[in-house]
Amino acid sequence: MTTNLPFKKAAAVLAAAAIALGMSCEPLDSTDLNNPNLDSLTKHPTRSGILAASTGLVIGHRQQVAQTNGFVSLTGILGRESYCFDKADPRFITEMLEAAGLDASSPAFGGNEWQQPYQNIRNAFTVLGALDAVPVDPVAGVTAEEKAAITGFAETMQALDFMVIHNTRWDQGGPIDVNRALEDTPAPVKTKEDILAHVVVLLDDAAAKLATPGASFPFPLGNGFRGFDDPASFLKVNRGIRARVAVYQGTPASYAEALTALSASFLDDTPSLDMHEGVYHSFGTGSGDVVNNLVSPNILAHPKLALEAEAGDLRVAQKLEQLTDENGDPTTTTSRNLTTGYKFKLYPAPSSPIPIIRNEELILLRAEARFHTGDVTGAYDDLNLVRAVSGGPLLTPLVPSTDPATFTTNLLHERRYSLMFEGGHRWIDLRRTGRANDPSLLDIPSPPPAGQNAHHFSQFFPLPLAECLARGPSDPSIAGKCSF
Amino acid sequence: MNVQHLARWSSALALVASLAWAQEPTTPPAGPAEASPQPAAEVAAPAPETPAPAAPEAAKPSRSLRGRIVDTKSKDPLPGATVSIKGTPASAMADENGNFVLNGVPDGKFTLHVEEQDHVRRDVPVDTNVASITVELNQSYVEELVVVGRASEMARKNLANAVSTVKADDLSRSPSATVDAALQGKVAGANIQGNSGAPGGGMQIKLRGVSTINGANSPLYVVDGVIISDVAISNGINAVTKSNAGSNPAPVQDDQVNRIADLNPNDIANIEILKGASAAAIYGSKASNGVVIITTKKAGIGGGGNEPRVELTQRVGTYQLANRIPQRTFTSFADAQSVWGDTAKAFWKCPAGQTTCADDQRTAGTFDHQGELSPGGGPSTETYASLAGGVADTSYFASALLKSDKGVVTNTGYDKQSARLNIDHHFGDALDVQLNSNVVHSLAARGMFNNDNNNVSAFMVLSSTPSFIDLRQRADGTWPVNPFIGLVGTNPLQTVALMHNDEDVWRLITSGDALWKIWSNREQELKLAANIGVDRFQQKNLLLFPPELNFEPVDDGLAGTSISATAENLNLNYGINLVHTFRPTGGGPLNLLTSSIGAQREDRTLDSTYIITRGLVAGQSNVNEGTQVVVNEQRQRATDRGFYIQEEALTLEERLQLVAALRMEQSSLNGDANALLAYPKAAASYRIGVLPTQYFDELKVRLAYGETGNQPIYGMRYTGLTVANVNGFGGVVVNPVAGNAGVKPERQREFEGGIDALMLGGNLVVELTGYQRTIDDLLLRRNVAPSTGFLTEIFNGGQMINRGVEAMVQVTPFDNPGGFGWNSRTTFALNRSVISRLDVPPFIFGAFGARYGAFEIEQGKSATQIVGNDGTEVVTDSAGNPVIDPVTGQPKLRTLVHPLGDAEPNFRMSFLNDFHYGAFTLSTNLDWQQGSSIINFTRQIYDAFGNSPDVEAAAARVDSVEHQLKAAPYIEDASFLKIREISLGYELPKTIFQGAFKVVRHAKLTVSGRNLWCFTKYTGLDPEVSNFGNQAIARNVDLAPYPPSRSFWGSIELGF
Repeated sequence: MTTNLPFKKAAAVLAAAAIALGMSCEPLDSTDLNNPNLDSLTKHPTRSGILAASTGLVIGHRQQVAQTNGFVSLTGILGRESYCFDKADPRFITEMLEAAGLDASSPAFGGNEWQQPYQNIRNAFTVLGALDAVPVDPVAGVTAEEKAAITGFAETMQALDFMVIHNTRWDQGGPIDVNRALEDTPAPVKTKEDILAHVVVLLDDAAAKLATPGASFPFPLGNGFRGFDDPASFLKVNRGIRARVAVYQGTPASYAEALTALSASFLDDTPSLDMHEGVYHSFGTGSGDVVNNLVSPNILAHPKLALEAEAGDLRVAQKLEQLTDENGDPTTTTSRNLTTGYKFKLYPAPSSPIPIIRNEELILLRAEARFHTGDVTGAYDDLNLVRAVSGGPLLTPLVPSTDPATFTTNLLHERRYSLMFEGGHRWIDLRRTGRANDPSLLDIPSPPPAGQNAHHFSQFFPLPLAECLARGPSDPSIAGKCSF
Repeated sequence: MNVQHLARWSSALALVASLAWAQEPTTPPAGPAEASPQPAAEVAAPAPETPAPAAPEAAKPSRSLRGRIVDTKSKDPLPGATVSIKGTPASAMADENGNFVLNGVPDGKFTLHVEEQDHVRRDVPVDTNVASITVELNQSYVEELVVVGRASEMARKNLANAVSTVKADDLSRSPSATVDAALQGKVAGANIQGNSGAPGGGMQIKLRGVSTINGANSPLYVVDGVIISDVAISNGINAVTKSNAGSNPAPVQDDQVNRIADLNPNDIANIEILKGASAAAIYGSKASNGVVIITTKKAGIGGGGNEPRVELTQRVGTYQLANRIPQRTFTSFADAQSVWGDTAKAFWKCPAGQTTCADDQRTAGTFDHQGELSPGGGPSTETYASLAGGVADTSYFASALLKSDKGVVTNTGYDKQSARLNIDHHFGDALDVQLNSNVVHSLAARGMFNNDNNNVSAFMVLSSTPSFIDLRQRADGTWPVNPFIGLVGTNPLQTVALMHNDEDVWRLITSGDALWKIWSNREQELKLAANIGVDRFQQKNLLLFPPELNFEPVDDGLAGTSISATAENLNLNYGINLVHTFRPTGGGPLNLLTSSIGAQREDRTLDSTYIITRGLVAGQSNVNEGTQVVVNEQRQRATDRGFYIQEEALTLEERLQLVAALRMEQSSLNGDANALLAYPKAAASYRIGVLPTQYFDELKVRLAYGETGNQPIYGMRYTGLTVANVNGFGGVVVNPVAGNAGVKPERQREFEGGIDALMLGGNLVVELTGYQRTIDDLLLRRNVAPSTGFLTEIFNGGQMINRGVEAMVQVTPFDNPGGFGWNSRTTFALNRSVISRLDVPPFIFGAFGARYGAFEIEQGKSATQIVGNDGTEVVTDSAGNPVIDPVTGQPKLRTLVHPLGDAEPNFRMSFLNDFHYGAFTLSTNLDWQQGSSIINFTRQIYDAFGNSPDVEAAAARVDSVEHQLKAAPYIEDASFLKIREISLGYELPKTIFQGAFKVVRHAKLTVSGRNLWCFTKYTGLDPEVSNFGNQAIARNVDLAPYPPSRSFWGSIELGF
């Protein structure tokens, strides 16, 4: 190309135009217009960021609880407390009740109950990391007392999230040492006993932090923690959870630890007791809040809850409601050979709270711990206290029995009606007491009637396929737990 | 690829000339200032009545020839055509009205050689004494100009890529609501599929298979030089369907419309499709999925002085339900009771007069819910008018469209109004300015379909509703409650009657172009082309689910839902290009050298806001009048800038074409926004000089290489914190998608080679193309171990290879002008993809898990493979012994997951045939897909609730999936042969237009149909569906889609 005048002229025009169009070397601007950045917490933490992330732990723990396919609903189905007759998704029956094992590949049916607790465990690590990095300063950072309180809170929430892993995965176990970079090898999967032991460590460390003199929570926890929203009162919650873990551990030593923990918890067995005192997941209809999706017409109560109840048990009348037709007459509804005439009254509104732990459970935990530490009378006192207060005057007190099987039967009956559809207690109880293989639990035992499918009792959600695939078959800690 | 050039090829090469003029006395003169049409050629003619313009040598004593060069078909003048006399130096160029004067003509017989770009050259024998002549030129397929850069064009005969062109005639033969639908079955290598049958668009064009997994999957659309948005924006209906509640958190199951649907197909002059990187490199990091270059109609070449021409098209048609899902009918109460329990009893009545009876005496009616839901048949209309003409140095094209389509489902439909004004003004010879502007308004009502988790979407409800319940509105105006949907009671007929799902879009696309001929001499020309473009639209979605709907009070305890969603989009484009052409006249090997340089900038913003209100007080629809108000806003902003240089050389007697180009680009979407990324391109084509046999007219071999990118999607570079609250107390949690601060575009490298042949005088055209494209740095959302707290991490990694062949064969067995003609064009395309490298373990992608079939990205496998559960095997320990489950005491089983299908078709073919006989034309378009797989979840839900007619087989399918853990029964063959279009036209004789109707220049009656029939073994409604909308990988998931329809049309076209 020759360089003559027109070219120079044109080149000048082009260059001028290019500059006018912003082709110059001014750097391109780029920011996230939608969300704050994680770096703001990890690299340059501020007081407000830490406080928002602390409240976030309440939000993160609540995530998977109240969905139609969330923790309460799925564990309710598995524990034969509830049905979900969602005509859009037959898996609520086919997979949850009929299949010989649950599907590892779907996030909607168990995968979320793995990822979301670990996500909140990550949230807690982010808070703990930010606490390490932020200056000790009441304006630019947090005070030493606040740091202790937030650490105690974060570790307690982490313990609750590890409990979800334990409760959903059972024998499959789960990884513990998960505070790693994404590119690192995933933490090895440990047994359920390891998880409970880790939860104990977390709770005990948290308790020590919460007991720091002068500590306070500089962040809001939401309405569900009302009455337990400062370190001193929240410590009582921590001890209640500690007692639950100890009872789940089920060793003579742990039962004794449970009694110790309960004595420091908010357990109330006075005549003025409130069985509902405790901490709750709270929901709201405000923008950005989450509603309780258990308020769903598809979620129904298992008919055996009514069938196997004692006459006059107030808990049944308070928690179950008969289905009625347009004329107000009792009716039933059917899906895939299952029929029920009941739904729950537990969660009447989109903002109905769901218990995390409450007084009634603490009393029942104490009954169990007392029995297994030799205090049969005390154990039955607790059971009968629950029967009298929650079950009502028509229930006769149980006669104490030293036979462990009888006691367990009595205990599980009270737990079934007292903690109905609050978060898988029935499923967990059947499993941890070795009663999950009873064919009478099943709606359609084997062999099934013609044209129907036999039901199974699934004791755990498998390790999610995504977890298996990310680890690969060479990870010895998942041997036998994954399909590749 | 186009159909119209069938007609071009079909026309005889012989001179038709003046005879045609003689038969068309009504044809208006070409221009007011010019001579009236020339009378006969090849016969002695009187001297011209008007002196020839620009004829300085007229005084010379020698013979001169006057004439006019026009297009055979349109009769448009062809300015710039050159005429020369063989064997003499005499030559002339046609002026802007196509007229020429040639002096120094020999006295005896001679041969006139006529040439024009875009048209077939002709040698015309001229007899002694002929003084005036009209030459008609056939448009040429090989001569037509194809855009190869951002500002330069090249004749197809020299092109090194297989660029498909579709012309106006092919687009509008049988009415389609959207441009993408109009392209179906017309482009080799383009797989164009609908997401559902809903009116108003929602289609996806895939060029040469998938080229990404998680990146943007739409081609780049360029309309009159403006890069326009093809974004698909959710309408927010997931707030009611809860389709995003389960494993698919994004609102992609909302039956979204990609916004290319807004264009008016009638306004389009032609569409060029650059299918891969080797052709599209000049578009840099946005062109990995190909580029669709759309040019709208102009007043005509040559600008001013044209009489206004009016074209009017009126179409009336109707849409009819094309297919139904097979549904079980029940012959006895016992039968019904076995499936539906005692709930069925209310619908099985005792014989008249009896209140009780034995169960076997009970009877019930059978109702056609699908037919009641989709009555179809409402009148659909389309009115299109255009006006083209010119005054002085200005030419204009204006058009208006009024369209109203009634969907087959009650209360659904698509209305569109469009107005366009394209103006072209010449400021002398040096500056040409064009202004194109288009305003479109569309209103789509698309009902409620696709997946839902709330028992509200039509087929999700009908799948578990028995045929013996009457869902129709009662005489008193109330609607029956459907007790088979548990307590939800959804009645889909009530839902479609009372709900609203309206998508209202206003869009303005405007572009301005200036072309300045800076300087030119005999050999060289320097041009500056500048353009600016604006694409602005607002999409407003108003959804109303009144409290009266059966499901509304019960689904969430809040009766009534109102959703107001607004999305605002702005694309701004600026570009400036300098083009230098050098055409040496002094001989030598170089024939033409074109050099271009240019710079572009694009700014894009998209801001969408959703307001969802539940618990409507007193049934008010305003979003502030509810109990629960949820607001969500998402914003995106991106800026790209770049420049390019391009050299094109034509050498060796115009036989060898060489092209090299380099594009350099920055984008704010990249992790390093200021990194300058390079996209090179090189291509060569050679027209073989010595043809193998006399039957060949042209034979070309071509080879091209190019690189393009696929930009990260907005937000991929950030790891965000999600803001939420508990009882109004705000908090943040870590988003489970980990971003990547170093994210960069995917890079596609494509080799393309091919052979093009023109044979038998143009009656046989063959194009063969093979390509291999390698895509590196794939934008992946790799699934990380969820125990990290994250679900996915964005990263660049892995490699995908696509290989394929495309072929086009066009034959013209019969071609008698005025008599019988037949033109046939067949396209063939096959593509195979393979994930050649994956830097992460294989991962399941899309759909609903391996139990029912899902996609899996796996090294060494097709990118679109569908895997599913495939039975179980006993788990063994290292010694090979079965592992015993401690709980059950049985051997432990593990589920096997194997490939069960592939969404990629084995091949696609289309058959386009045009017949004409006299004034009649018949066009057909058959579209064949062979061997794609589809996941039929719709059938699964019908089966699972005992509602499929093949009762035992259905039970076996459910058993297979749920108990034998074999997904195969629901992964079906999606092969189909569709009759896309049939159109029969009749050109009315001009003689019938007399008197006041004499202004009618031409008139045509057409009856046509679209998607008339589908031959397939697929058991669902339509093998072309995508529950998840526009997806690179996770298409072909059938879950309760809007049903397909066939449309029938009658049209009249009038030209004035």
